[in-house]
Amino acid sequence: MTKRSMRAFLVLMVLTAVMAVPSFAATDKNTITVALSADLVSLDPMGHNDIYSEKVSFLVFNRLFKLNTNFEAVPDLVAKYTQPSPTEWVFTIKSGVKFHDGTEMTSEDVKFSLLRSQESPNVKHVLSEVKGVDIVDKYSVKVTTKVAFAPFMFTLAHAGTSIVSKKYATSADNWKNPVGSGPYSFVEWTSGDKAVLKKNPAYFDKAGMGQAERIVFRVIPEAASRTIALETGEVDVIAALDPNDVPKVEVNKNLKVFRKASTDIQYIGMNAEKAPFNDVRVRQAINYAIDKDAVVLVALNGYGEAASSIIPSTIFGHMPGPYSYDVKKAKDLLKAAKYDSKQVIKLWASGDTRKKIAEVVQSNLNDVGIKAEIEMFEWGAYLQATNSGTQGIFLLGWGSNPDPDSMLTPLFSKGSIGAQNRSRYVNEKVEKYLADGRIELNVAKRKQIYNDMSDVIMQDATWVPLYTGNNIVGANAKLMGVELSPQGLWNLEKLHY
Amino acid sequence: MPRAGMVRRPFMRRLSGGNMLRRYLFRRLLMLLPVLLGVTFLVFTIISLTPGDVAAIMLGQGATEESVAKLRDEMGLNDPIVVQYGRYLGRLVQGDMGMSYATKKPVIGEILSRFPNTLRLAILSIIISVLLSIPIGIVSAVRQYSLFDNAGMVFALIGISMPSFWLGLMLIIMFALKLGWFPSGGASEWKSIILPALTLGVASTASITRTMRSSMLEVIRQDYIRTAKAKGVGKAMVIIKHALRNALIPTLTVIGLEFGELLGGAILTETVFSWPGIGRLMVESIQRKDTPMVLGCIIVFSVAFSVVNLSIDILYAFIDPRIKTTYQKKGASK
Repeated sequence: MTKRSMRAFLVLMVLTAVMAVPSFAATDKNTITVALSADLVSLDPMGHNDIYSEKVSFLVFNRLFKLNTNFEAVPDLVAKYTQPSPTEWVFTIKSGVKFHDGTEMTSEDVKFSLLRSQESPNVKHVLSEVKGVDIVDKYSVKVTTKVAFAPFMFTLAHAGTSIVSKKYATSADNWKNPVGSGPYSFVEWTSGDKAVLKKNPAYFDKAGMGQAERIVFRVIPEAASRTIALETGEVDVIAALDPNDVPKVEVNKNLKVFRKASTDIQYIGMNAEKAPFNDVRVRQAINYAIDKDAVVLVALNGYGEAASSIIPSTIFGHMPGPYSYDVKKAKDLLKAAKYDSKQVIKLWASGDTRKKIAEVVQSNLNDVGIKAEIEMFEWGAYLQATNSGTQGIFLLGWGSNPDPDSMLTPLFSKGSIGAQNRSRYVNEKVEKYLADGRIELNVAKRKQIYNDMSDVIMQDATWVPLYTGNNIVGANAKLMGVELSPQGLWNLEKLHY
Repeated sequence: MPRAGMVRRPFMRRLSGGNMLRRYLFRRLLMLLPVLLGVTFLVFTIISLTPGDVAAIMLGQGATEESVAKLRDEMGLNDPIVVQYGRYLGRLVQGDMGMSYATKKPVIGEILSRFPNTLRLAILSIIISVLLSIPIGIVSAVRQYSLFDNAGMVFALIGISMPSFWLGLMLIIMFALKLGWFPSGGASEWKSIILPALTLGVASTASITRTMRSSMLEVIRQDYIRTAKAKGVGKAMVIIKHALRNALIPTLTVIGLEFGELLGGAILTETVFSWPGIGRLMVESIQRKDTPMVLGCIIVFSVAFSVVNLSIDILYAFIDPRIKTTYQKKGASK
């Protein structure tokens, strides 16, 4: 070996040695950086309806109620509440709650916020049941609903019903520097890059006080880059860890993975008005034909739960459905329905994950004698096509709010055909269950209504529920206070080192 | 040589030949108007014709059919496309690019916050690629078929073929994850720009190097180069003073095109490095069917591209005195 090549070899060796030692950036203990996969839409809590902006809204603002990690609605601003009649609610907020600009929150702000929410295009559907809001005294309001409305407290926990400062909201600032009452106050938002919040030392709820001095939300759209940022220590927690990266993060002793079943449900929809899916036996056969465990494995790398019913297991009213993976039963039902096995049906899908699911479904259907061709769509085109009336069998999903009514009414009511009821499903029994469920205030009776409804819909089989995914959060192993709800990373004010 | 006897005057005045340059600039800028009109109309029509209802996207999945219909009506989305476009154009000529459908904020504000990031990235990328490609191209041409030439061309081939998101991820793994020299993404500190600029720079380097090499090869076979050599001018001087200036014209065209494209935002690189540039903004806006924002991005892109092209045309005259003379003659004859 010549002197020159020897030197080159040595340099190479040193470089390799340096590169083999992974770096782990020192952590600023007072600032928690949270990686989001998409940018915020708006800082106005009523100007968005998305999970990214919601994360910031939940820290900067308060609502009358909030959801805990078990998805129960518990008081947030509300000190006490009464229900003088099934359609009347009187809410009294805690006294001495201060907005970040130092002004006190009163019933004037509550009334203004609830009415503003009803006017905002993005969230007006949330309080659509509210008929009127009246001020009772400085800290109390009376809210009247159009009908008795059981899930009302859940709707008051939505980010779109945040209580904002009337003084600020009517100012000319146009939500550039939002003023809320939450455990963190707004510092800055650089579009596409980051949003910075700082602790509100005057927060009214000492138990819910922010732990870290600052929380920074960083937008990292690419999944691999998010994981690397966690590995390098640039971010402390990832709100949505890619399932493919879970094994890598799990073996890293500096990092930790948290998982919790979500409220999302993926399903195969079938148009009940269109042959051959207008025959309930064909729909039931398809319910027996699908190997959901295989779907979970292929779509989520195994990080999910096979769904047996239309209501996810994380939502009130869930009851396991009647179908299991049974090729023989599927074939028998198809035979009884005189299914023409020569016909080729079109299986519609959109996006990479659903393409993978479609391939499993295609193979499962083939096993029972149903020939299917996969047809892929662009997302915008897909949403329109699956609502056009020409749809046959298609793959879709739904991300639910905690109350079952918020998913079942749009997905299965007659009035929602042309909107979210893409299976064009109509059953008068279900209509009655939906109406009863909305007004029933007794929890046990209400649960029974949703159990019964779930049973009817599953027997009619316009859906094949496929799976509910997991919320997967990746965090620095030393980070404390990481909590998950079925809607992902929760109670961010508790994060600290 | 054409430079002999030239009096050094400020560049603009040297070029002007009366008011020629100003007239030329005015004419070129005027040509921007039909370009913008055509581009915005095309984009507006395409977005309007693509499936998907912007009102439904804005309201999210819990929205009722009535609320979607009402919002469509409020936004004027039920009007014919030409009427909608006319309305947009009416506001545009008053300098109003409209409000984003998604964020409800002025489009111009959002673009102004993102475009400087794209500009910074584009400038650094092009500097990196010029610094790399010009010397490699020259040496490759001068030492044609040498080991350096072959290695340079293989490097260029790899640079062109390598997907930018792959190279970006590899750079992140090496320099952010393993070595910890640079952050893996974002735009918070000065070091954040290095890796994305390097990723984009390598891709541009490849095409500029190849052009530089081939035009240099052509020039060094010209008679005047042989003459210069015969006169006893040193090899380096021949290459730098005589060959390079003539070979730079086609290279400059490629540099201009590359820079113009970079100003439109490098979507994949911006995504991999979480760089808050205009490319990502445009893609996110297309996905949300945020027509005013998409149009705003397109307008900025078109203007930037045209300005870069114009600047390159002017630079031709600076590099090649023969082109400058053409301007001056035309200017004099007017």
